[in-house]
Amino acid sequence: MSISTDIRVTSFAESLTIQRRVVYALVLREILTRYGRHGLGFLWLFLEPMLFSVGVLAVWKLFHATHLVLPLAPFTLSGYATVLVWRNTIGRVIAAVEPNRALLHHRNVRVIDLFLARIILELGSTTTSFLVMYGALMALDLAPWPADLSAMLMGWGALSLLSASLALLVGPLATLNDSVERVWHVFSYLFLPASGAFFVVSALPMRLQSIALWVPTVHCVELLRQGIFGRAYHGHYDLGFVFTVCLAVLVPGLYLVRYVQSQVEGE
Amino acid sequence: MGGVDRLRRWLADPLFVLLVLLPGLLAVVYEGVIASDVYIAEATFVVHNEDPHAPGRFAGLLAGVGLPPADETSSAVVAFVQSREALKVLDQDLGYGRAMASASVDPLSRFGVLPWRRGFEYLLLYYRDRIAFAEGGAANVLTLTVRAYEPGQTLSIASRLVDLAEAKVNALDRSVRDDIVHFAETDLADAHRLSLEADKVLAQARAGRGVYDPDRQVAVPLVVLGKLEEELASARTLLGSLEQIAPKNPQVEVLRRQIEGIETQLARERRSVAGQDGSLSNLAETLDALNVEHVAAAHVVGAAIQSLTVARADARRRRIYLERIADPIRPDVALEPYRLRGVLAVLGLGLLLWAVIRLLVSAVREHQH
Repeated sequence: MSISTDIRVTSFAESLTIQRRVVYALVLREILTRYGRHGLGFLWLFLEPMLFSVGVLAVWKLFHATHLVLPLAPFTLSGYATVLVWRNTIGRVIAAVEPNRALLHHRNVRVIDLFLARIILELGSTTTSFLVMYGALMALDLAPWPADLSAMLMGWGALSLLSASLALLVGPLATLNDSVERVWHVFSYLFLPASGAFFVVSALPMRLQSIALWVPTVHCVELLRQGIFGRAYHGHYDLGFVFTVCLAVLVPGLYLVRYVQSQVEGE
Repeated sequence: MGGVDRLRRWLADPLFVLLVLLPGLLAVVYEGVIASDVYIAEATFVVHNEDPHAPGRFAGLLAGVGLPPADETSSAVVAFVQSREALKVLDQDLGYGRAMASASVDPLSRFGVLPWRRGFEYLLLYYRDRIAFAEGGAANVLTLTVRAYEPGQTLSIASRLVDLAEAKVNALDRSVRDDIVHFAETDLADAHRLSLEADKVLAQARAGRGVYDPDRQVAVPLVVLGKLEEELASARTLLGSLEQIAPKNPQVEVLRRQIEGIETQLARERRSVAGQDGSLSNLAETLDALNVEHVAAAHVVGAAIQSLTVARADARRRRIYLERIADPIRPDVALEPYRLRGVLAVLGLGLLLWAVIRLLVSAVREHQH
C-alpha cells in the first residue's frame, strides 16, 4: 500500500510553484471577468490609465501652455502615473475577497493569492501604460530620453513595493470592515496633493521639504523624476526610508491576511 | 515558560540569527566600541535683504500659498556653503579631506576607505552629509550644523564656513549695488552724449549759413521791404494823379522808371526773406527743428540725472548682509552618535525583515499538494 503521495510533505519549491500557478490563473480570471472577451477586451487594462493620463495632460496643456522649469509633459505624466500606481493598486485590493469567496473553497486558493493577483494585475497595467505613454511622449519629442534608467527603475520599483505593501494592509482591513473602503476613498483624495505627484521637493521652502519627506511616496516620485530629468533635478530621496515603511506596513498586513484566512475557513 | 521555549525556537532559526542576532551583535560592537564620537558645532545667522521695492512680508504671504516665500538670498547662501567652491577652500585651508581620512576616524565614518571613492567629488558627497542647514522662525533664521570627529576641528570648520558665507554675501551686496548705480550712470552718459550731439548740429547749422539769430536777422530785410512797399505805393499814387492832370508831363516817365526800379528791388528782397533754399525763413525752420531736438535732449539729461540720484539713494538703502546671531562654540561633549538608538534601529529593522520573510514563507507554505 502506498499512501505516501498524500502524506508527503510538500517542499517549499513545490509550494511556490503551486502558488505561482494559482496566482497566474487568478490574474487571467480577473482580466476575463473584468473586461470580458468582447471588443477591446483586456486592452482596456492599459487603455484605462492611459486615457486618464492623456485627459489630464490635455487639461494641463490647455491651462499652462508654457512649460515651467521642467518640461511639462513628462512632469505631469510621472506625477499621474505614480498616483495611478498606488491608488489603483490599493483601490482594487479593497474588494478582492468578496466576489471571489467561492474560489476559496479550493484548498490551494488562499486569501493572500486573491490579493496578490489583483496587486500584480494593477502594477502590471499601470506600468505598461506608463511605459507606452512615456514612449509616445518621446516619439512626439515632448519628453527627453531618461537621463538615468536605473534611477527611474528603482523609483518605480520602490513605488510598486510600497503600493503592494500598503495594499496588503488595506486589503484585509477592508475585508474585515466595510467602513475602511469609504475612509480610503476620502483619504486617497486628501492624500493626493501630499503624494509628491504635483510638486518638486527642491522647489519647496526648506521647512516644507522636511515635512514632505515624511511621505514615503514622495521619495519614489523624486527618484523616478531624477531618473527622467537627470542631475539637474536635485531629487530628494531615501530608499532606506521607503523600504523601512514597507516592512513596517507588511508585518501587520501579513498578520491580518492570515487572520482573514482563518475567518474565512471558520465559516 | 512558553516565552523561553519560543526564544529557543527562534535562536534555532538560522534566518533569525542571520537577520536579527548577528546584525544586532555587530551593531552593539560597532556602536559600543568602534564608532567615533561625533562633535557638533552650530552657527545661527540671518541673511538680510533690504530691498526698498520688495513686496512687504504680508504681500509675499498672499503671493505664496499661505506660506512665506523661501528667501532667495538665504537659498543662495545655502547653495554656496554646499558648493565645491566652499569645500575647496576648507580643503586647502583646513585640510578637510586629510582630516576626514585620518585613522582616528572609525572605518565606517572615515573618508576614502574604499579606494574607488576617493576623488574630490566623493569628498563633496561626504562633506554634504556632514553639514546641515535648518531654517526656522519667521525671520529666515538659518542654522548651520557641522559634524566632525574632533572638537577643535568641528569649531574651525563651522566658523570658517560662516566667514566664507559672510564674504560671499558681502560680495553679492557690492555687485548688486554697483549694478543699480552703474545702470543709472550709463543712462546719464548716453543722455549727455545725445544732448551734446544736438548742440553740435545746431551750432554747425548756424555757422554754415553765417546766421546766428535768424529771427532778428529776418527782421532787418522785413523793415526794408516795408519801406520799399511804402515808396512804391506813394510813387504809384503820384503817378496816377499826374497821368490824370498832366499826362504829358516829363515827370510821368521818371515816375514810371522809379516804380519799375522799386519793383525789381522789392522782388529781390522778397526772395531773400521767403523764397527757395538759403532764404532766411527756410533757415529759420531748420533751426527751429534743431532747437526742439536740443531742448528734448536737455530734458532727457535732466531725467537721467534725477534717476541717478534715485538709484544712488536706492543703493544706499538696499543692503544685503549676513547678521550673525550665534557664533559656533567649541563642543565639549560628543552628542552623537546615538549609540543605543543605532543598536535599536538595527535590531528593529532586522526583526521587521525577519517577520516579513517568515510571514511570506508561511503564506507560500499554505499551498500544499
